[in-house]
This record gives sequence, structure tokens and C-alpha cells, in this order.
Amino acid sequence: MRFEISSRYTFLSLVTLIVGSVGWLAGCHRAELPADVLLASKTLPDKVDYNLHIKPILSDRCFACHGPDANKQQAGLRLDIAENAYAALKESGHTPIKPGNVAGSELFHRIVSTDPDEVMPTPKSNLTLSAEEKALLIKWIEQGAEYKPHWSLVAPAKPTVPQPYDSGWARNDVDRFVWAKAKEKNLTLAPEADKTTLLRRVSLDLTGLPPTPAEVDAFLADKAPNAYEKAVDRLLQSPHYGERMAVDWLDAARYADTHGYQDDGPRTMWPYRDWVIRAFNKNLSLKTFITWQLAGDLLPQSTDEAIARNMLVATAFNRNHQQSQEGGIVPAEYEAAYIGDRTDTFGKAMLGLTVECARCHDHKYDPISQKDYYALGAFFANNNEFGQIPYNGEPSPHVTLPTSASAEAQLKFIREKIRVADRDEATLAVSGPVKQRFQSWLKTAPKNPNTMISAREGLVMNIPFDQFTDKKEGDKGKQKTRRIFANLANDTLPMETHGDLDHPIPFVKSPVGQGVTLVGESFMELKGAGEWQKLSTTKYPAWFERNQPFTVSLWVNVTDPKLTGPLFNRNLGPFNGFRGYEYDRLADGRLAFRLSYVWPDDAIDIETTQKLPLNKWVLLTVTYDGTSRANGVTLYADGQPIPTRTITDNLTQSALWGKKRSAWGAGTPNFAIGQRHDYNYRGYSVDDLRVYARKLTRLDVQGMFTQQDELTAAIRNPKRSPAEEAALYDYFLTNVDKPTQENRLTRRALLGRETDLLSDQIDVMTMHERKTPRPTFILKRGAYDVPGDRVQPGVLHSLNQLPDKGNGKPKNRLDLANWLLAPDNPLFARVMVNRFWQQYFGQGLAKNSDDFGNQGALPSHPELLDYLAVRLRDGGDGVAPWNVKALQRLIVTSATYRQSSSVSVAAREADFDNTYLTRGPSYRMSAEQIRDNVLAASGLLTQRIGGPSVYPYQPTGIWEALATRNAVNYTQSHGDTLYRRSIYTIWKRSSPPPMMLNFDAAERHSCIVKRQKTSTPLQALVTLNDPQFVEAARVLAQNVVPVILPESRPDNRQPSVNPRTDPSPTGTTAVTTVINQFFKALVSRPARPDEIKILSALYAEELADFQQNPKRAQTLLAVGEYPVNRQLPPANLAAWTVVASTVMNFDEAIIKR
Amino acid sequence: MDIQDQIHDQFSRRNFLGQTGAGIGTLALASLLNPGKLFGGTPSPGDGPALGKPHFPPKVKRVIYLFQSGAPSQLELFDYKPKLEAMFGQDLPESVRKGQRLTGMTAGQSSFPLAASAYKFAQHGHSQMWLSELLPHTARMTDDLCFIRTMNTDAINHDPAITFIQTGSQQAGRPSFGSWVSYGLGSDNQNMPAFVVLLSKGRGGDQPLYAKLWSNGFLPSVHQGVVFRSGPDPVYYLNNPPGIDRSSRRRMLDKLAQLNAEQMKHVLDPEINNRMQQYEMAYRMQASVPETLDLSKEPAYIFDAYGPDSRKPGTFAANCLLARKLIEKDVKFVQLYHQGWDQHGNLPKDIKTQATSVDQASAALVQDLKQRGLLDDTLVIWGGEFGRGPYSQGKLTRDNYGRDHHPRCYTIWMAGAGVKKSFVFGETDDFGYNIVKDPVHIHDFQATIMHLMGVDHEKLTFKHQGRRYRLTDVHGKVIKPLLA
Repeated sequence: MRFEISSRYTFLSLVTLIVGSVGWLAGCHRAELPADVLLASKTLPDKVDYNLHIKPILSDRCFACHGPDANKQQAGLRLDIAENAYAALKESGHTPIKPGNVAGSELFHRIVSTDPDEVMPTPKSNLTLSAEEKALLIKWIEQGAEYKPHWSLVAPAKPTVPQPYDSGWARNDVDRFVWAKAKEKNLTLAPEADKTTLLRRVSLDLTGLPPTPAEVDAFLADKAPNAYEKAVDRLLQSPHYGERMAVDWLDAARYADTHGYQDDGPRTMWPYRDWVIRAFNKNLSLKTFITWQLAGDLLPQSTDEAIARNMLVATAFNRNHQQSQEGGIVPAEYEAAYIGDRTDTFGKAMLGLTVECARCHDHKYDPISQKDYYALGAFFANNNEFGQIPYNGEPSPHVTLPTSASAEAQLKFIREKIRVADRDEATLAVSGPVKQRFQSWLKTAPKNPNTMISAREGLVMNIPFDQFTDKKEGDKGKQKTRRIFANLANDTLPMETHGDLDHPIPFVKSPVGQGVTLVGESFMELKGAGEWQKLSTTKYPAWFERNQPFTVSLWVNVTDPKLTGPLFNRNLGPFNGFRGYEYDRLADGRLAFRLSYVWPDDAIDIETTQKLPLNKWVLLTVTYDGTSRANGVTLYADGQPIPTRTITDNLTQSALWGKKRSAWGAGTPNFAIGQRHDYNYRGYSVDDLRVYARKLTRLDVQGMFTQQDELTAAIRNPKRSPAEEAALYDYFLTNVDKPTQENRLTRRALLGRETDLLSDQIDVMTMHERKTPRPTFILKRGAYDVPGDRVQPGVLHSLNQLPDKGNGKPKNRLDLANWLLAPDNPLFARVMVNRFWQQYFGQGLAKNSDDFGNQGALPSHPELLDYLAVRLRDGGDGVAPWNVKALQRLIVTSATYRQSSSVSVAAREADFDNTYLTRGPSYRMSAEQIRDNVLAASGLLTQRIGGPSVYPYQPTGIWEALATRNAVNYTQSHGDTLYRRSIYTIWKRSSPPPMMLNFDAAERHSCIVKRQKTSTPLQALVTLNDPQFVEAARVLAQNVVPVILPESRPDNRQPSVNPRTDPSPTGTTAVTTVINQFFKALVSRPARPDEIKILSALYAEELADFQQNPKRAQTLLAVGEYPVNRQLPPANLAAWTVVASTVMNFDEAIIKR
Repeated sequence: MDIQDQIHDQFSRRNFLGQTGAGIGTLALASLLNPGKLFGGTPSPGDGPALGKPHFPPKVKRVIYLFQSGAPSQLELFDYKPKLEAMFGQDLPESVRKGQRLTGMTAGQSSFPLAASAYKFAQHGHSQMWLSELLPHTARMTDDLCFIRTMNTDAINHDPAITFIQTGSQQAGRPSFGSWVSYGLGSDNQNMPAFVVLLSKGRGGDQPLYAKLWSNGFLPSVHQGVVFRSGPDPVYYLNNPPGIDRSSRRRMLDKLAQLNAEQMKHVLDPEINNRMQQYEMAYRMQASVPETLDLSKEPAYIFDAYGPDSRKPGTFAANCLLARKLIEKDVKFVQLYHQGWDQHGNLPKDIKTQATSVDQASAALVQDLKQRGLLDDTLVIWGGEFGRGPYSQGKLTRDNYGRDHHPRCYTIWMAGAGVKKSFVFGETDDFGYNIVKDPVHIHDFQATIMHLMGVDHEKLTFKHQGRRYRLTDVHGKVIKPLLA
């Protein structure tokens, strides 16, 4: 074709440029084109297409400064939207693009200019346009500069299936699209691969494992026309299918067994991994698969407990990101990072978009604004979590999973009993007989004080701060003073000052005598006696489990308005999830009481609605009834209950211990005033501390303040108020009424048993919304501490919009999931289909499976991609929507998939990277496949599915070289766990298994949807030298050789063929048979004659050498823990081991063909 | 590789070619005979490093980066602040701090008492620069050193800060400095990776390290930092299995090559040839790596120069010596990590131990390179991820205190090619809290090193997910006054 320059281009050259075609120049009333552009213009397509030809150029070279980023649009120019590009610029008056008028288009002048101040892209950008690209832009303008919507942002509609006139090749609709495209490109398609190659290929693709030799034989023997389809169906039903499918999904879900960041402690995430495997195996609808992961906690809870738990475990998808344990981090900074990671992962894994670019500014290339980013992030911002996660205890929110059926049954039993106790309590409280007993007690009580309990009953700490001694410590001249305050409830356990002892803690006058002031560097602590791990309540008087009622009362005068933190606490601090209890002053002056297993979600957390007055002594009292419920906590000020609101009511486990009575480090696990963990608090005074190992009732607390016997006064008051009546009734039930007390004791015992039992079960992180949504703001430059405008949860403005719920409630993750799966969502189905395709073909129909935006490559077969997306989304032909196995069956039974991957050099060059699918897929196998292949081939593979991650062979000292705490040592396991599939290998983010990294496994720091497939010398070292591979070679040899060569046993004296004495490489049927078995096991086919020749020679050489050096043979055979077959002569076995190892390093053991 | 191996290689290659005849394309044949580029950068044969050649003539051909993990306190080592002595125990004025954010470790502290260095400073060399008594060996070579006192970073915690200085981003996933160099410039040695990592620990129980720091990120994995370890297995899986010797391995690889050559006839996939080259490279590495790491032939005076630790494998001193040997083998980027500088409390005692563990060897390395003429085209860098603050963390006494993280200024030094000698750049205020002149941001530092290596940091990019990434993100400028 010719590039016609119309006479409309009357613009003339400022340019000194030279042109190639003199004849063309002669016309002269024409725009001048540089010679190279002119040359390039001669080979352009007839019709220039915006999506195909132009946008890739504009996006890559222009959008960074003239694209969607509103803050970076230079000269007010925006080239991604037609109206803007066609309009005259305000600043210069130039029109960027005049459709059909090249000379009138400023863009044209800029791209051909040689003036460094004029030319675009500007030299500062380090970007340039090629001559062909310039020619394309010019021709596009000439043809009318038509813009089109981006292909991936328009919902797919079912395309018409092309009907090839040659239908001999096509097996299903997939092939009809592929055939039509090949025809269009004038390419030829490859014939079907041989049966063995095909079975190996589809087995590796669907299960990650090679076919067994028996499966190959059976397949070869099956002459039925649908033999292949039968094999596919068998593989889709294999339990190993889920394992294979899970690998890719776990990359996207950035699954790992440790938290990452610098401390990188272990986490219990494997139940999520197992759920993914099971979900694929069960062919869970993709809709359910995704919805549960995004919002399993927001769906109606299933009545089936196992299903209900699975729905929560699935939400671990959004907890797989890295989390930080580092002391001293700013939690809010990390919370922002977690939310960001979830947003980025959602963008990449579900939408195929690089939304993370909009974290700091509007996206440079795609229509994703910064506001879009934070609106999307708002869906993930409400998790009830804390940025600094504990070393001990799975970060909350979490769900507890029973580790055995008996534990599950016991828990069920206990919980049912607790329900009964609660029902009985409710019944008792309103029943006639109790009321009668109450009335009679009221009458007799004044005369019988023994029906009332002593005010000192259960008093375990009583520190008036008026009685103290000063103890001198340290060397002379550097003496320090430790102030020791008497504990009137237990004279062996006084309260002492700690920290800076240079300055004795100062006294202050309080309403009840002499109090003390917290000045920051020192604090007061009541230490228990003996090892606190073996605590007893007498030695550790202020340590309370969740089933133990207690009361703490303290006079407090806050003087520093900036005080934020605990007034008192018995709390293990952030490294243990704030396990224990604490009474805090919040930044705004209100108070909060927290009783936690792992705060903030596995906790009782209640806040006052009013502020604590400053510079005023107030008697603060908290009572707790041991029910593990928020309404069991009552807060009092000056003897009167104060209004509160419940933030969290979800204390499910011990308030003392981590799993199996564990705790991290020491910190300050004691009852303390002025310190929590290793942080000090100051700016307040305290006096008269009392701790009771029972719940005081309202009248008791009131009496503590008024110093009167409020109980007797209320009983004697004939005109008592309903509130006083209720208070008396509470006192009666709590302290007097035997049936009620017995029932409560029973309940406490049950709760204690439950707590003990749960200590042996595992927790898995989940999503759980806060009660009150956290407001979300645009973060300027992405910085957590520079909030901009507030945003509401919402989706990207350029995609389908969220329907209004109509109930005024804010939108949540469930709405997001529904939006994603809605028929008008343009991305999700395409993105998923493309990744399934990539799984088989090594690359997607859209090659950039991680970028469906403007910068991503266009799909090679857009209609096929849409066809498959619609098939997946809508189902049809008797297939339900979102049926993954059906989609995969469609792909792997296509003629396209079944092509041979070995094609002529010419055919390969014609379609160099197989964009047009003119041959079968081949690629270097994944790290998992390479290792699993040798385990399976050797017979070592342990077939068990799921369970905690395992510790196979690994070079020594890898963890130890980097870690300084928290899972420092790698302890290799033994027995059959050495031979589990690679998906189960422990993944420590800071020290991933080097074998896996060498073969390009994803590092699991963030969402990855496409691994590299490189080839390096370090890979060769693995497959040659890793003990796992060497052992597998030996085990393969010893499994094959005795079967084939019984005569090689020393006890068999009459060998027909003995390789020891007959090293002849050819003509030895036994040797041939062994080599064939190696080949069949490792690469699924028998060896070819030339291969047998080569390996027979190797065997002979090695055998001779090992016979000369028996020690070498012995040491080689000692590699690995699997027992050596001592029946075989060591030299023979060693020589065979080398041969097997050679086949393991052979092309087909590494490359799927 | 010793002569015998070379002969053997030649022989086996010829032998192999003779047998396979025309089975291999000429392209593959050429690169098989000239395999120097295998570690040089790209998985496909024939391609060179991404840049082809540097943007401008490089001053620095190789870098040794002595990374001091945990953040050494510049106030005890490099940045002399008599004012802290004068105002000992007084609060850091709010007019200086200006509400800057603190780590959670000191955010709750009621006061910020200024802590003077427990160690004396004195002036050294032509430039009369102040250096602490903790670094006597370093002090003796001040005339070779180029100090930057005004390094500053964006992160206040170890993980993001180390990730930042190593990869240009606080978030995991970007390529390491050395990976960028490997990708851009390739390797100068056919038997060694371009980017080698050595690890050592000082004081126990300090901050951990993480493999992501030397990760190739989204670059091809051939550019990942290869950890060389002390002990018998210096590179993971380098050694043949017990019982397999070098000639046995050679026989096996020859047969493997024959198998693959046969296979090539059937599948016609050039990937096969590429992979065969990787096996040959692995074979050569098996000889070259142990040979390079073998310190047994080093004379006693060398060990004496590097200090007694240099005889103990796995120490910082031994790694310094190894670094010199790697440089002699033309490894482009040698990155040492030395743990143990995170002195939040008990600083005076701990920093002394820690400084002693690095001072002599760091100085010896520079002098050793100098004597061998290697310092003319090698750059040595010494420093951590951020600095430490002027006020005490925890209780301040005359002889004991701690220091919290401080990202706003800290000191590093460089020595060798392309940078000024006997030079101090940048000034901090009297408290060592803020920079008053010539700040050098992490991205500037990275841009400057790149520049010294002949690379325009804005032009060495890698397109990933639609975006062109570079080490310096979208920032960084070359600090010209540092250049010789």
C-alpha cells in the first residue's frame, strides 16, 4: 500500500530534513516527512486501528505526562480521551489532533520535530518514537484519528464462532478461533503430538505429576476414539488436581508460612492452603470460591459448623499479606500497608490491573484515579486488626479450628452445656422460687449478717500507698532507692517501684490519704512469686483467666491531657497480643477496658462514652463476672456505673496464655501501674488500689466510694428505688442464692475446660469487620499520616458501577464480590480464563496476564478470550456457570492443545513465541513440577494431601544465617514427610527454599500471577547435586534394577546377563530395559536407540570406575535417608544412580513438551 | 579452573561436537565456545547485558558494599558533636525536633535527654577530619576516604529502611542494587556471578536479615545475588554429591550433552542449547568458586592485616578478605552484610564490640585493594540503613544510654575509584539531628554510584507490568561534588 500525502498538508518545513523520495518532494505543497518516517509509511497496514496500533504507542510514550493522571497533565493536554485530544489547548491555542488533518495537528509537528525543546516525547523522558510509530500516528490522524474504548473495559459478549471450511482439524470451538487466526496470518498448525507426549503433557498440566508407566501403557493400549478424553476425565478427578491448581492460586494469594518483614515469625496458614486444594478438587463454583475468599465472613453463617468454618478460613486470602511484629513500628503505618496490599492483590488477581500505581497519584496509563484506589481500599479497611501483630498468638481476627474429631466433639459438648447453663440462669433469674427466696432474704438479712459476705472477702490486693519502706540497693556511692508499698491483703506480696530508682516515686495528697504520682521513668509493679508459668492465684493474685470474676478499684487523678495508655494493667503487651486486661485512657480522654486473648478482635473491648475529667480524683472501678462476655463488665466512677459502648465482644480464648500455656518473652506480665510491656506512662496520680477475686456488685462499689454500708442501708430502706432493688437482687444472686451460684460455678468450670481445650487447637487469621467502620481517606503521596479527602467504599469509575443497595448501609466486601462476579464486569472472567490458559500454554491469550490495562499487550485471539470468558461466566451446553473443570476440559481437549510442540525451524520462526498457537505448548516446568516429577518417578512421593507444612532437605544454615529470633533454626523432618509434594514445603519469606527460588518460584511477598521461566547455572546445580534429586536417582535405580535384573543379586549365581561382567553398552537387553524404565518413569516414554547407546556407555564407564573405587560407590549411595537396597552390588547401584541422575537432568525431565 | 580441567573441557567439547555434528545451530555453537555472557544477563544466548555498553566511561568497574545492618550510630563514630556534651542531659529542644515522628519505642518517652558520645573524637589526616577513637584503623586511612555525613532516608524501621537502600523502594519486590548492576552491565567473568553476597554476624541477638534484600525482583533470576558461604558448601548445591568426583561429573555431563543434542534433532528447540550452556557454566563454577574462596594460600601478613578474625570463616574480617578475592575475579558487585548495630540500649558497651569487629578489616580491605592497584577501579562503600538520634533512649547516665533510629541524617564513607579522597561532604546541625547543608538522599546515593559505574540511573530501566522501573524510582540526582 502507499502512504498518500494529501494536498491538505500545506505546512512547510522549518525543517532541514532530508527526504528519501525526490519525486515525492517535488510536489512540495505537502507536509514534509523525515526520510525514515516516509520509508516506514510504505509498509503500514491499510487501516490503522486505535487499539491495535495507536494506543500502545500513546500509552507507552505519551500518557505519563498526557494521560489519566490529573496532577501530571503537562500543558493541559490529555491524549487518552478523544474530546480532550481534539480540543484546542487553553495555554497554546494549538489543537493536538485534528482528525483527518495532519498538518493541522500539533501532535504531528511535535513528533517529527528535531528541536529538543519541541520534540515529543521530550528528551528528558528518555523515550523516543520509532519511524514506524511516527508513521502510524500520522496515518491514524489522516484516517480520522478514531478513538475506541479499551478492549478489556467492555464486558465480553459471546462472539460468533468462525466456521472453518476445513473442519478436519478442529475438535471444538477453541480450535475454530485458532484455526481462523492461523489462516488469517497464513500460518500452518501442527499435527497432534504422539500419545505419550500428550498424556505426559496433560498429566503435568492437570495434576503437576507425570503419568505412571502403567498409566502410559494403559493409555497406549486404549484404542478407543475417546481414550484421551477419558484420561482427561480421570486426571480431573485425581486428588492431585487440586494440588496442581492451588500452586498458581497461592502465588496470586501470596500464601506463605511466615509473617514476613524482618522478624518473620511463623503463622498458621496451611488450613487456607488446604481449603484451596479441596475447593479445586470439589470443583467449587468459581463464584463461591471467590465470594468466600472476599467475603465469607459477611455471608449468612452456615448451620453446618465445618462449612461455617471453611467460609471463614477462605477469608484468610485477605490476611496472607506480610504483617509486621517489629517492636517500635507505628501500627497505623502498617495497617495502611496491609490495606494497600489487599487492594493491590484484588486489583492484580481479580481485575488484572495495576491499581497499585494509583496509591500515590492517579494512574499514569489507565483510567484509575487515586480516589478510585482508596475507595477500593475502603472495602478492606474495616478489618478488626492491629498493625503490630504478636509473636505469640495468631493475629486477630482469627477462627479456631479443632485439630481432632474428639476435640471437636468435646467442644461441641461443652458449648452445649454452657448454653444450657445460660438458659438455666435466665430461667432462674425470673423464676418464682428465686424471687421468693430473695424476698425472704430481704426480710431476714438485717438480722442475719452471716447471709452477707464480708467486704474483705476475695480481697487479694489492697495497697493504700500510705505504708511503705524504702530499700537501698546497689553499690555505695551509686545507691538507689526501691520503694516498697505494703499489700494489706497479702503481706508477702508488696508492690514495688521499678525503672529509674534514682528518684523515689513522689507522693501526693489524695481524697483517701497519701497517693503517688507517675512521672514516666519509673513505675509500680506487683510481682508474683515463683515461675509465672506455674502461676497460682495466691502467688499471682491479680492474674485472672476469662472464667474468673474479678474487681479492680483505683483512685486516679489524670493531670496530663496527652496521656494515652493504661492507667493499670495485667497485660503481656504487643508481643503477646495484649493478652490480659488493661484499663486505658484514650487519646480523647475517654476510658476503655480490655480483656484480651489477642487484641483487638479476640477480646472484650468496651469504651466509656464520656471523658474522664482532668485534674480531679476519681475512684475508678471495674467489675467482671467471668462469663467471657462484654456485658459481664461494668465500669464505675465514684461508685456509680458509667455509660459505655461495646467495641468488641469476642473473647474466645485464654486471657492468660498463648497456645499450650505459652508466652513470648518476659516483658512485664505482672500487675503494673505506669508501665505496660516496656513502655512507661506518666502524667497521673493514683491511690488506694484494691483487687478482688470476685465480682463486686453495685452496692459494694458504691460503698467503697461512700465508705458506708450501702447494702444494709438499701435493705433497710423501705422506699428503695427500682435501681436499688435491682442492685440488691444482683447481690443476692451473686453472693447468696445457692442454686444460682451453683449454676454459675458450673458454667465457669465449663468455660475453663473450653479454654484448656482451645489451647491445643489452632487459629487461622480471617477477616472480621469492625462494628463501626473506620473512615477511609485518600492518602497524599500514599503516606499513611497525610490524609486527604474522605472516601466511601466504591469501585473504579471506569468499570461497571455498584448497584445501590437501597438500604443506606455502607457497601462492604460482599457487595464488592457481587460486583466482581456480575455479568457486566468486563474483567474478572477474562482475567481468570487468561490465567488458566497461561497455565497450559505458558502464556495467556493476553500475554501480560498481570496487566489488562493500556500498557498490556492486546490479546492475540480476542474473540477466543471472550468466548472462553463468556463460557466460564454463563455456562451453557449443560454446564453450570463458573464451572472451572468444565472450562479446563474444553481447553485441554482442543486440537490446539493437542498439537505437537516439535515443529520445523521454519514453522518456529514463523510464529516465534507461539503467539498464534501454531504448535503445542512447551515450557520449562515449575520448581514444584521438577521436584515432584523425580519424587513420583522414583516412587518416593508421599501421596497424602494437606496438613502442616513440612521441612525437606535443605542446605544447612540457611535460616540460621539470617534470622536472629523467631524460628531461627531449620529442623529437617524425617520419614515420609521428606517426600511430600513441593506445595507443602515450608515457605519462610525471609529465607525461602533455595531450590524453589532457583527455579523461579514466586517469593510470596506480594501477589504474583506469572512466574519467570529462566534458565541459569544454579538450576543445573540443583538437579545435579541436591540430595533430594540424588536420593531419588538412587531410589529409582534400586526400585527398577531388582525387578529387571534379579540376576544381579549377589545370591543369584547364574545370571543370564550380568552387567558387572558384561559392561558392553549395546546388545545387553537388561541394560536396555533398565534405561527404558528410567525413561518411562522420568519422562514417560521408552528411550530411543541412540539414547540407549549413550547411557549404556555411561553405565559401563561408571560401573568400571565404581568397581575400582568401591568407597565412592558407598558414599554416593549414602545420600538421603531412604534405606539403600543392600541386596544390590554397590558399584552397580551407584552406576545406575548416575544414569538415573543423568535422565533427571535430561531435557524432557525439565521441559514440558 | 586448573589447566587439566581446561584441557578436559576443550577435549570434551571437541569430542562432543564431533559426535553431534550439525545437530546444533551455529549460533548455539558460537556461544558454547564463548560462554562468557552466561552470567552476563540474559537467558537467551548471544544477547549481552541490557545496556550493551555503559552510558559513559565508567570510573568504577566493581563495587564492594560493606553494609552495616542495624544502623551504626554516627554520633559515636563519625559525626563529632561537642554540643551534646555541653548540653548533656538537657532535653532536645523542640525547635530542633519540630514534631518529627518517632518509632514506637521512644514515642512514649517523657523526655529526650541529649546523650554525648561516650567515646572521644580526634582529628586525622590532611583534612583534619574528626573521627572516633572506636575506629583507630579507619582513622589511619582518612586520606583515602570520602565521607557523606548527610545521608538521609524515608523509613524509620529496619525492614523498610534496608529494603529501601537496597532496592529503592520500602516495599518488597524490587530488584536489589547488585541485580540492577548485573542486569545493566553484565558480568566480566565467565565463571562467576556478577552479584555475590557474603553474610556475617557481629553481636548476637540483633536484627535479622532477609533474602529479599538480594533478590532479582522482577528482573530475570540470573541477576539474583548469589550467597557465598563459608564452609564446605559455599554456594547452595555447588558440590557434587559425595562419591561423584570431577571426572565422573565430566563424563556424565558429556553424556547428558549427547542426549540433549539427540533431543535437539527431535524437538528443534533452541532452549535445549541454552540449557546445555548452563550445565557447562555450572561445571566451571564448581571449580572456580572454591578456588576463589580458598584463603589457604594467603600469606600470614595478609591475615595479620585483616585482623585475627580473618582466620575464622564467616566473620566480617574473613568476608572482607573474600571480597578482595572476588574483586580479583572481576565479580562486579560484592555485597557484605554485617549484623549487630542496633543499639537501642547499652550502646557504649555494645558499639565498642561491634566497631572492633569491623574496623581493622574494613581498613585492611581498602589498603589491600590499594596496594594491588584495584582501588583504581573499585569502589568500597561502608554504611547502614539510617542513623541514630542524639537523645537517649531509656535512662541516660554518663556511661550508659541508648539511641533510637534516626532517618534524618547519618554518615557513610566510600573509598576508591571516582570519588574524592580525604573529603567530607555535608553538614548536620549541632545536635546531629537535622541536615544544614548538602543532603544526600538514598536515591541520590544510588544515582551517584550508578553514575560512577557509567550508568545514567534514569536510563537503566526495566519494563514490568506496563511501567518502566528503575533503581531510583522517579527520584535521585547525581551528587557531583563527591566525584573526583
